[in-house]
Amino acid sequence: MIAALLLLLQGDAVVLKGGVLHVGDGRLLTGATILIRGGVVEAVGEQIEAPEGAVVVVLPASAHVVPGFIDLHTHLGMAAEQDEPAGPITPHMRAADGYSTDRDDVRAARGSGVTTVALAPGEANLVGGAMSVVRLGDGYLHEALVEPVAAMKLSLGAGALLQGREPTSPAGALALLERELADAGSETHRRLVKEKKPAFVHATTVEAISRALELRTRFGIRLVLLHADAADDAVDAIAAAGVPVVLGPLTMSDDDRTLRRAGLLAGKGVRIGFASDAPVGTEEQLRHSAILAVRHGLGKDAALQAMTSGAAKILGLDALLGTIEAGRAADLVVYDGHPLAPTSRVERVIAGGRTVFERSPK
Amino acid sequence: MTAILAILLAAAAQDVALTGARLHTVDGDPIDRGTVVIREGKILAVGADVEIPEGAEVIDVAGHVIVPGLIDAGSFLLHEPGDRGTAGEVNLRAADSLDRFSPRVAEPLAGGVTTTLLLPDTAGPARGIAAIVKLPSTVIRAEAGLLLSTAAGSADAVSALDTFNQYKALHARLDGAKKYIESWEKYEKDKAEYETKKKEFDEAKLKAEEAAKDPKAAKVEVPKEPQEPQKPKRDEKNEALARLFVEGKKVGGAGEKLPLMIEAHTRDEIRHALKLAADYELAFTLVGGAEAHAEAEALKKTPVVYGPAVIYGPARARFFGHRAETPALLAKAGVRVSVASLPLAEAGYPRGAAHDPSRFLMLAASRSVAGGLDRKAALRALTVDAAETLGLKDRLGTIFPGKDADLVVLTGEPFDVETRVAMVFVDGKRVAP
Repeated sequence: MIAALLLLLQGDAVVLKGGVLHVGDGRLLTGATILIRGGVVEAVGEQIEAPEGAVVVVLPASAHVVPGFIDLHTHLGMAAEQDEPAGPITPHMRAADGYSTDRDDVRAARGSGVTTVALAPGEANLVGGAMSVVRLGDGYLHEALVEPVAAMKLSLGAGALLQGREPTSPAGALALLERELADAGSETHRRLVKEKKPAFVHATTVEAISRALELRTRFGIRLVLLHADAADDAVDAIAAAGVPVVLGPLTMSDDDRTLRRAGLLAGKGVRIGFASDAPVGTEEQLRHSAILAVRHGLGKDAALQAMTSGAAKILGLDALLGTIEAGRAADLVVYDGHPLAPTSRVERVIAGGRTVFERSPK
Repeated sequence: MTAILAILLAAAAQDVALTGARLHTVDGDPIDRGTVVIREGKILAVGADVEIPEGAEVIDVAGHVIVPGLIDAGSFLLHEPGDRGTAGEVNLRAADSLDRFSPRVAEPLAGGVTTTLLLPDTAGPARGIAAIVKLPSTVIRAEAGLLLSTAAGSADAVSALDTFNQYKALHARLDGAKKYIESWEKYEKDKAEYETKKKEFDEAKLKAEEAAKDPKAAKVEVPKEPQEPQKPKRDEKNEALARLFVEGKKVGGAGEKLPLMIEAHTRDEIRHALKLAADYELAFTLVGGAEAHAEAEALKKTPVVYGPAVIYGPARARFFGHRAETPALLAKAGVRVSVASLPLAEAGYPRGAAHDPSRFLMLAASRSVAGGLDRKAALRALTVDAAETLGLKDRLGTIFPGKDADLVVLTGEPFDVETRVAMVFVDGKRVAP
């Protein structure tokens, strides 16, 4: 009975037939059928019968189906205050608790092609709190929450140095952070050292990047570099450590060095992902960042994976998200052309098995 | 004799023929494997079956696509970053404050932009006089239009009250300009009257003097000597605004009437722009237009210099209402749309930054294609429609004999993601890459 109710809540089965399917890991399938039921992809293949009562969507051959894009760092749906700056270390804060679905930016994001976002605290604290992964569904938070504590947000940026509060200097910041990480009783230690949640560290300068790499070596944390503007100068160290880098949003006013960074890092074998950093950018800009990166040397496949399976791996949620395969969440987007062609547009967004956006016919 | 002829021929620029490319002439169907012949900066001939003049330099661009040079219909390309946002004045000319040696021009040029409407890089309600510049730095029209703005406040702080106050301030300025025109009209009228009266006076005086010499003559009445009217004090600011209504010589100055341009982004700002223009019975060009789709019907007769680029910028309050469909909806309503890199700068990027968004003009227009604008219309927006809005359709915007040889050779179809710019010609000279 409960199962039946759940099924009802999730809606009937949906079958997508045809088009070009980007699995999300580099594989391409043409003319495949996707069966979605209970919020997950039940099957993908050529010989799939649509179950009785299923909604069947037949796609034109020119359509492309991709896994819903994953924004690895955003403040979407959050109020202006994303930090609790009274103290520099606030690991108990959860970004999802500052999130509201009843906002224009969230509504606008549903048609962007991004289906999953990693909500993050700001950069005013050394340990800002937990990053929460949320699906851009059509419901309230409890329906949208994928993982309340997916990762932790740390900041080695100038933003974490405040007047009249510890730390006020970069050296002081590092000392404080090391003490916190070493303290076996601390929440930070529990999340990052024991549970090995990814540590998204805001580190723009070479100094901040090298300190973050040192922390990784010392404490064995799962480091992810965020906004690593100076990654070009530390690319070999980053590649050797196998640390992923989250970039973006890229804009048309960025210089070539910035626009080439994604291609440069990927070329050295560094796993990359993209972030809208909303409200700095919009969710739509995630794809635009990838387009600009492709124009400046990043491979198309690498760019697509950076927004799908690669991003899921960075979050440690790849068993759940990032590809269109049996057993994964039914988060997928239909474009009317190649997803990285700037002229393509979103036709349909399915998040958690439900159609949350459909382009109205002209 | 032949030697002299050879020298003469060498002195004239060599003809150039671009052969084998697909030509998007924009004023007709594309021509496959066509040839464009360039002579002395102009297009001499275009077609699939064109005779190549003897001695011409032949550049084989088979497999490529040629489009007219792109027009960035609103930019800050040649301004110094440090000049950004200073308080504007209506008589400030962008043509006088540009950096002729700007290093920021190279990238847009390599991106296919050959002409731009250079806006005065100022803030406030009355911004100044825009110029039309051929890249890298030839001013081809120093006074292309007068830019006003109903976009008050900043990109992040949009207030209906600020917008209204800015509209009222512009109203006061234009009323002042009208009074200024009246003062000149009155002066001209008084002067004509004075000249008539002075003539009468001079004649009467002469007669009186002659009568005085002849004691037998009757006494001649001399009227009171007329006072010469005082010329109005010249005011360059009022003069610039007055030129929205009359030629410069009507107000003691010079120059033709100035076309009106109004910068407005949000629906509220656009409505105030429409109202302002209607109040003074002026036609205008809308610059910005992030939410212009919402006023498409009202804008039917108003060309829009539109910035799809804004979508690649940050999410600023002023541009929340922007949609990729905006140009398509405007075109559907019959509005002439051209494309500008301006709104991105307005959205908070450093104006005149080393890497100006103008270099991505075609990519920005691709967004409009995603929003439903057909590719042909998108190319028109970047070329001939912009030329028409700028009043330069006789020179720019299509590949047609007699027009300026501003040409962009592409590696593929415009708006395809893989397409790159292979060559750029301005006035027949290869300027990039």
